[in-house]
Amino acid sequence: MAKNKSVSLPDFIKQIESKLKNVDVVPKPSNEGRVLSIGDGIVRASGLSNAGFGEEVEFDDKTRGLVFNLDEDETSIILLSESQEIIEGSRVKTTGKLLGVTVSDSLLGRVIDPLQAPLDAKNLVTSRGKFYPLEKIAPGVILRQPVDTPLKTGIKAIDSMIPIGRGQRELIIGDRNTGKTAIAVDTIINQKKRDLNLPQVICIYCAIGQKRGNIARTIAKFDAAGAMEYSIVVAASSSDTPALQYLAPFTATAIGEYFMDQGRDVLIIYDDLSKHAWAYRQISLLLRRPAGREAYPGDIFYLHSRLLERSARLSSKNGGGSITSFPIIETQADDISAYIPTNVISITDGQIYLKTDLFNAGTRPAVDAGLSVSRVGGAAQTKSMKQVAGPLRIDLAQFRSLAAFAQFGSDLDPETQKQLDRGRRVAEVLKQPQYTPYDEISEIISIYAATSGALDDLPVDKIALFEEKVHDFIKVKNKKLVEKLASGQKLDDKTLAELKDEVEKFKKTIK
Amino acid sequence: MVNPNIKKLAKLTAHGVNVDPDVASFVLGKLGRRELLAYLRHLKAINNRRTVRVLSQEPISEVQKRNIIKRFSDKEVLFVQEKIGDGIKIQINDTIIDYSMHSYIDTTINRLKE
Repeated sequence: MAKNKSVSLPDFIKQIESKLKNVDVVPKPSNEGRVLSIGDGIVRASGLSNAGFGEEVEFDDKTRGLVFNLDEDETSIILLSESQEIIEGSRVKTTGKLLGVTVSDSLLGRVIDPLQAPLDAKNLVTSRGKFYPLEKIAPGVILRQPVDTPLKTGIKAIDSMIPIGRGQRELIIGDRNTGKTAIAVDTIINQKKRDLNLPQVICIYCAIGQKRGNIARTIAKFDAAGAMEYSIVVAASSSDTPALQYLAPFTATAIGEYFMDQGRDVLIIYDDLSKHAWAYRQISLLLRRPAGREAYPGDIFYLHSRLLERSARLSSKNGGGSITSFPIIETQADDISAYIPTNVISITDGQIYLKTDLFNAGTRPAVDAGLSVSRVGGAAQTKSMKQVAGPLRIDLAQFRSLAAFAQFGSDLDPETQKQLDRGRRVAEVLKQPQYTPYDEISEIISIYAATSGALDDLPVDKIALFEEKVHDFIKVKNKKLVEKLASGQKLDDKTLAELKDEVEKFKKTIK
Repeated sequence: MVNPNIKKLAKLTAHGVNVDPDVASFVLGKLGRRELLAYLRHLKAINNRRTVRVLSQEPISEVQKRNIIKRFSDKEVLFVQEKIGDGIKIQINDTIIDYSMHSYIDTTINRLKE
């Protein structure tokens, strides 16, 4: 029907009639079964001979379930919600539908559970939108292109030494209370800035098996920082069923794929995949699947690899969208050689390793520069950042090794003392308080000041004060220089000299 | 007795038109309660595969019955009266084709929603 064209009432009635005629109401055969046993959220049912793996089923009381095991005589189903009404002999029927979510832009700013039920006391309109199955085959090689656009975290230590590109999978790994979630939250907050004039990143925070209080606190931080307008939270807390915890990352990914297919850039935080593995282990043991190492089922690697493989950067022909993912893994006693950590390390394109010792020594973020790596992000780093941050990793590594020897208290030669002094300043510059992401220009100024030796004569305890004000000083005073730094191009000697000069000038005001 | 053997026994029982008296006495005399339950389940499954159940609230006319029997000539057709509202439901093993008015309305509403 053309817009603004009036239609007579009889014609309008005819249009409705023809639409109704096109509605296919021929009954489709359904497949039924009977519950044989139920316990721990697992139902074994007979019948259902035509059920498919991953198909949604429905019980008499409208409770939904997911087909998880298909045996010769029976089917194992995981319940997606708790029910008191399912008993032995209850009827269960197939729906012919794969479990999925109906996604539209209206999900932005919302907090939902893995089955798309709202958790933020607002109504959710899900009838309009596009259906995305939770399980989907990852984009093939032909559909992809290499990572070439940076995803700025706003954290100096990461953007300089472990740069991340859009479409990359970067693991955040460390013991409890080492600042893993803090890095993820800061990265989401930093997307508000749209640093380097890059397109907006849609952020999806997927909380798995966390305490409800912690989830609420994280959401409050997003709200306070104005990050919810471009974010979605998918939450399955520790009190939710293992089935929901298992599904949460798949829901987050399915939502992300909707935005990626529209050519937009998406960031998904899986917080955390250790608890996801626990939930899957629980389900698998209840389903009596054979247990392997640490009682995890044999396909635990495939579970995470097929999930993370869905993070990709699509080629321009296919819209150019991307999904960047930050899976989080919690280690026990800094042991990164345990089963799940090694699995996820080998799946991802790098890892940010957070160390308890560094955290307790006041280095925050507690990034271990030696063990952290970004395998593909280097290609996405701007030339100016690459140039400035080049000596950073070496300076820091030399400092850490020399600092260990210097503890013995023997006399040090002037060259070693100089290296130690430089290292202390570099380490100090890389400290950054939470919820204060830096833009690229500020990061370049700080890092260049440290690596060029401009801060060598400034007391270490004054560096925080210096950093607090130097960015605004240069941004206000020398706009031309700021423009050059923001261009992302390699900085010539003149520009570097100019930058050093400005830093020196400001340093005098501190002294 | 393990499950595969119980299944074999159920198949053997349902092999002919009538149940072999030796098999029947073995089943009733030797199988425990748990084994009997499993045996019954397999037996019912075999029987269901051979049978078509036609459910309706009102009795079906003889002409319609003949038509339905003709369609499922290789199976035994049972006509069962059950409170399903208007229309009929056909149950072939665990597959159900629902031609009831209730299902028609539900399907129409769901399709229109889509």
